[in-house]
Amino acid sequence: MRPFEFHNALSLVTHTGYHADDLRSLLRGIQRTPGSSIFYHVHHSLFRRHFTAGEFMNDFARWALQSLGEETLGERLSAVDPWQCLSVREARDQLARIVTDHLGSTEYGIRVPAGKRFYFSAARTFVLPSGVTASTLSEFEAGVRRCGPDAIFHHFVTAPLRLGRRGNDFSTWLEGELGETGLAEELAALTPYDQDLYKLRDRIAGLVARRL
Amino acid sequence: MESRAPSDLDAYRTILGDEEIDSVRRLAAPLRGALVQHVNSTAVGGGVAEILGRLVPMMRDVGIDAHWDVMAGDARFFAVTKAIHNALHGVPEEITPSMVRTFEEVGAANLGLVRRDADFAVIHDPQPLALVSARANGRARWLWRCHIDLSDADPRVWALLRDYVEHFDAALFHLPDYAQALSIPQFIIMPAIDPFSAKNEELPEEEIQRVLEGFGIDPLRPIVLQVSRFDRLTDPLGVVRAYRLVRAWHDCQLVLAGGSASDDPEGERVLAEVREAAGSDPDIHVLALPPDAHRVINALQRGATVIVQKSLREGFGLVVTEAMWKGKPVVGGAVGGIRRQIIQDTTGFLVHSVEGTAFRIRQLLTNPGLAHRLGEQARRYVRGSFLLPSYLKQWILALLAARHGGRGVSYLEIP
Repeated sequence: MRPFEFHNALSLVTHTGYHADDLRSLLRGIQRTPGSSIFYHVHHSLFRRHFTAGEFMNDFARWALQSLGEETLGERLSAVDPWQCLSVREARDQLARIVTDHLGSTEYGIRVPAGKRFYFSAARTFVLPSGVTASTLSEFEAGVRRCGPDAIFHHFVTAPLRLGRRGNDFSTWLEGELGETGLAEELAALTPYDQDLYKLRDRIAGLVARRL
Repeated sequence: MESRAPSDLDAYRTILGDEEIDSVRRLAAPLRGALVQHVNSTAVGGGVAEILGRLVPMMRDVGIDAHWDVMAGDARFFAVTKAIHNALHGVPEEITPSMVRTFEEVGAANLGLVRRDADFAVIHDPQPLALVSARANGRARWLWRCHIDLSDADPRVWALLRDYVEHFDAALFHLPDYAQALSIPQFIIMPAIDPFSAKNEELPEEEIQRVLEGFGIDPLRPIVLQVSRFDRLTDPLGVVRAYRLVRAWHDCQLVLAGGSASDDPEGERVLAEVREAAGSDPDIHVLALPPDAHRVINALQRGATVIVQKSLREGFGLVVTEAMWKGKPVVGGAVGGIRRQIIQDTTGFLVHSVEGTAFRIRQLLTNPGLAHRLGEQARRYVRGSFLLPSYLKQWILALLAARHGGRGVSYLEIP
């Protein structure tokens, strides 16, 4: 049996050189900025570690609402669900389509001053072992409780991008190595976007503890 | 009581938990023994010296062989670098060819300072930029840390400096707004506060009461506070106007606390105007404090009901971070780094006008539950992102990124 090795993902914010001050430059940036930038801005609330339950919103939506005053566009962008996107390209295409449609239906848009620009940042991420491993369900529960948000981010948030399907590393291991199909399905049903990473960790640990 | 201000990362376990501190230590493992030489232009005074005094011991604590050296320069050199500093802040300055020569000559005279055995050379701010000429002598990766707001930099002066910056491996800025058109990677590392410093450590309730009463402030009535230097950009007069709008609805007191302005003629004028605007209102307290009144400021912040930072222009705004760390609801101008710290309706309120400031203060005074929720979320946000161990973590990531290059995701093995 292959033990589970908890990894931490830690990210540095980098500047891509792209910025937007109106709808057209926002669209151009969404289309051209590196994929790691789209990923960063869609998941920024999680990079920030904390947000209020139910208030997950990507940066593009927030900027459209708060800086451009484009409420309809902001609402539409906020509906882009990272959980439904299995690749960054999918998220990029959805965002670009929404902005394009909005551009086609609006007669004019404002240009914001320099202090309110949208700067396209990106994440430079390093993944490294946390030193915690598990071979049994009880060791796994203890490992989850010891893990920080950096590990939850890696195993839960970025996992679908690596796996190419909706899922997470915990469920894959529980099902594949321990035959815990039911528990794996319960964890797979959790979304990382309706609570912060600390609460998500506690929920995962709670579900494993209940199984124990 | 002495400020604890530890250099030992483990002291932060009580605040951040074991998993966070262990994560930073493991992240630093690939850099164990790496020689990191920081160079700036002053050993004491100013924010850069203060942050290096904290960062270098913490780097050493996680196994990085960090050193801090200070370049030498005469009055003529520092007059030139002061003019450059002003121009980078958008102040009109003429940088003559002879000033450029001085900048280069003093840089050349300091080349011996650069260690050949360094793995990383980290140059802080523009003064020591010319040291990059020494990079061919060693194996180091070179990073330039800019602590200045370049968003309104004089393009001619920036063009002069850019020629040096382009020889580095990476540039580090506080905010994306300060980043420039450069061919090298640019990293964003926001500043952080030390929860154990005199400005931020926990204070006994009696001390907070004593400070408030010492200034004639009633601890039992709501207190609206702005801590800032007295100048136009922090808009203390706008805060007085907002307070008057609030007073029509709520009984409250206004405290404007800032550094004494004796060496700053404009500051003195603004302070006089604020005092005039306050008039004989016994509930407006204008406090000109000495620069080392850290515990007093701490007590005022902890005693406040709502904290305002109604800046019209701001760098990162660490005073906002300090207020948020104390669990206070903050109403901040939507500028600079305040926009990065206050998430609207989640960790505080962003405002654009005197009226907006008054509205949000009223809202918070009327809804103590809302004020408590925003304050708690603000404190959690600061704990996760803006305390010194997070800052150290970002620095380690920057060194790793400079060493490995590339972008996206890299997997590291722990040696």
